Amino acid sequence: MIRAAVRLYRVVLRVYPREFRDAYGDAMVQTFVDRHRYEHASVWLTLGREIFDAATVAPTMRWEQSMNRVVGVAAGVLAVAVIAAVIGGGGLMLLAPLVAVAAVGVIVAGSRNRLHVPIDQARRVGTWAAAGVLAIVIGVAIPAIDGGELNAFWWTVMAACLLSGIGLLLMGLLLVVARDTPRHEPA
Amino acid sequence: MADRPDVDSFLPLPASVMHIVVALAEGEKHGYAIMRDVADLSDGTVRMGSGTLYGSIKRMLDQGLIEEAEERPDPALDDQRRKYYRLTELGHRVGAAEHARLTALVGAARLRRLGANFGGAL
Repeated sequence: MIRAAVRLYRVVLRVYPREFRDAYGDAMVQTFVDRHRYEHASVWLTLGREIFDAATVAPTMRWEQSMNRVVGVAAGVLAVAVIAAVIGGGGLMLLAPLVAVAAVGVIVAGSRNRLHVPIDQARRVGTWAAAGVLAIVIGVAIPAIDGGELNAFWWTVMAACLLSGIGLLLMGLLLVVARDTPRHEPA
Repeated sequence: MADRPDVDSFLPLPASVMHIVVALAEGEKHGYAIMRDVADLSDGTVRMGSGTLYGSIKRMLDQGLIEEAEERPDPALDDQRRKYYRLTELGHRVGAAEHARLTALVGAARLRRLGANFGGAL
């Protein structure tokens, strides 16, 4: 009977992310067998508990994994936006939606605290947000400095200021969110 | 200067992590032994499933609070699938800091006679 239960348990383990399963699957099976062996509980009751545990833990792990992917994609999108802005003014038309997508991805990931930012780092980098506001203010002020007629050089400077400002601000926002949520919470 | 992680950045520890830290305070253990110890320490109120346990273990390994023990107590008698874990030096320091934090909190609750008017034990 235990063999059948173990086979079923291995099927249950498939709800966990593959990396986690590869690293801990065998140990989890051994723990399952140990529970049956030493607690003298019904193997099916033990299996039921493990299914309930998997149902509550695995979605969080998968969500965490997908959020990590979102952060990666957001970083890539941001990089593409920066390159587009540097290459030419036309690239700026792509900038707003791309940066918005990147921002949403990073902020969602940050609000779920998937980046596990240490609190001392959060405080330090939080000051970057102030630098970000300053960079945005400079970027917005550039058209006034140049009399409203922007050549390619000033477009590039303005784009660089706005982009770096947005990046710094996002980082600051992210870290503020991360600082105020419980950290190191296991799945 | 060596780059030592800030112990305070780990606090407060989630209850499940603190239970594992306390379970490992007396020496290295494998997953099931940790599970049993946590249940005993909490009078059965905290019962971890394997997913919760190994999810916490994975996170603690990533954070450097625990490490996998390479030597097994008796390889001949032990199943190779079992993995043994022990606290790192950082894990000990973080556990001690959480212990101090909880002790101070309990002391404050005692001073304020928390629950005394409602049949509490303080």
